[in-house]
Amino acid sequence: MKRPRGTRFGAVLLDLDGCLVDSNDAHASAWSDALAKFGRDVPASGVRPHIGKGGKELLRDFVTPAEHALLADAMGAVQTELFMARFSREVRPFPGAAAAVRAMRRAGILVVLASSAQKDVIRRSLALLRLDGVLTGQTSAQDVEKTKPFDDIFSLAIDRFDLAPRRPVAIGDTPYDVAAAHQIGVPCMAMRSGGFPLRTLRSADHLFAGVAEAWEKGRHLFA
Amino acid sequence: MKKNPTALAFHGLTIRSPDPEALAGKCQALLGWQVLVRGRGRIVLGDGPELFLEIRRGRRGEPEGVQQIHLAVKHLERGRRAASRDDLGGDSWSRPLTPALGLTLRQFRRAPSPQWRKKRKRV
Repeated sequence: MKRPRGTRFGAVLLDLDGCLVDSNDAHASAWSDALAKFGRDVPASGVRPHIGKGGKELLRDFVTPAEHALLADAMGAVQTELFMARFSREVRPFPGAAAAVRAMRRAGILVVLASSAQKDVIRRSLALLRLDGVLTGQTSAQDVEKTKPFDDIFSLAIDRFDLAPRRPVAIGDTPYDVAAAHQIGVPCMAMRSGGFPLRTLRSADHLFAGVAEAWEKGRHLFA
Repeated sequence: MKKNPTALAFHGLTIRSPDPEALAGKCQALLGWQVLVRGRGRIVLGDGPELFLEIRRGRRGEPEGVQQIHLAVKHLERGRRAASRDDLGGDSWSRPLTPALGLTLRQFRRAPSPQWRKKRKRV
């Protein structure tokens, strides 16, 4: 997708986990517990670097292809159930992140939540953030065949909400967000709030501590 | 157009045998599979619910043979039969294909019961 260089970003493809809510560790723990229920002993620290991929893509590193074909859906369902059980106890919004999203909208920037998370998780997170009605729209893992690090989520969001003419930028916290955005020529702002090592985010076009800082210090980058 | 469940893979066989222990021993030696479940007249070998061989003691005089074929599917509800939860972590229903052979369709939806969880190394 060819885009004019030097113009400001008029639309945002926004990731959820690790950007708006501090949930990556809870996701890793829930995956570890879910895999244990299927007989696999994988510590949360082993899963943590893979958080940010969609569930099916994440599982490819931990199960055989045959297991993946038959059990990935069940494993994902168990992980979602365990994550939701942890949600109110462990998941917190990042300070200033939701306010920054509201400010983007007030400035006329279209903000689409482009997450690989499950719909239930997205719904609950948006309620926590009080962002219902603020976003232009959203996509979830259920909307696409392939989740991050593939570009499908971002591509769908761009097509569905006609974002291409507004020069969209992806805001994510993982190397999988960066990879997915770059596959389709979309610049990516990486947030360090997700806890990924700096070296894994070096290919991002911009680097910020979090969404609040991206809006505050990177305001000149937006339309 | 009539819709059916989408077949994914045959993932298990139930075999009847007059001597389940002997047959299980041979299968273990050939395949290297471990015992997952052992009960009265029943031994299950395999990696887990996704791939297993169940050997059941047959009735006196019955020849050795396949008794049940287990097929993993998606969209089980399209079969329009009442499914029930099973120990393998699935919803399933069975029907006879012949008097001696049955077919089980199963959609995995949840974690298997503890006896079906074999500890595995990370791949």
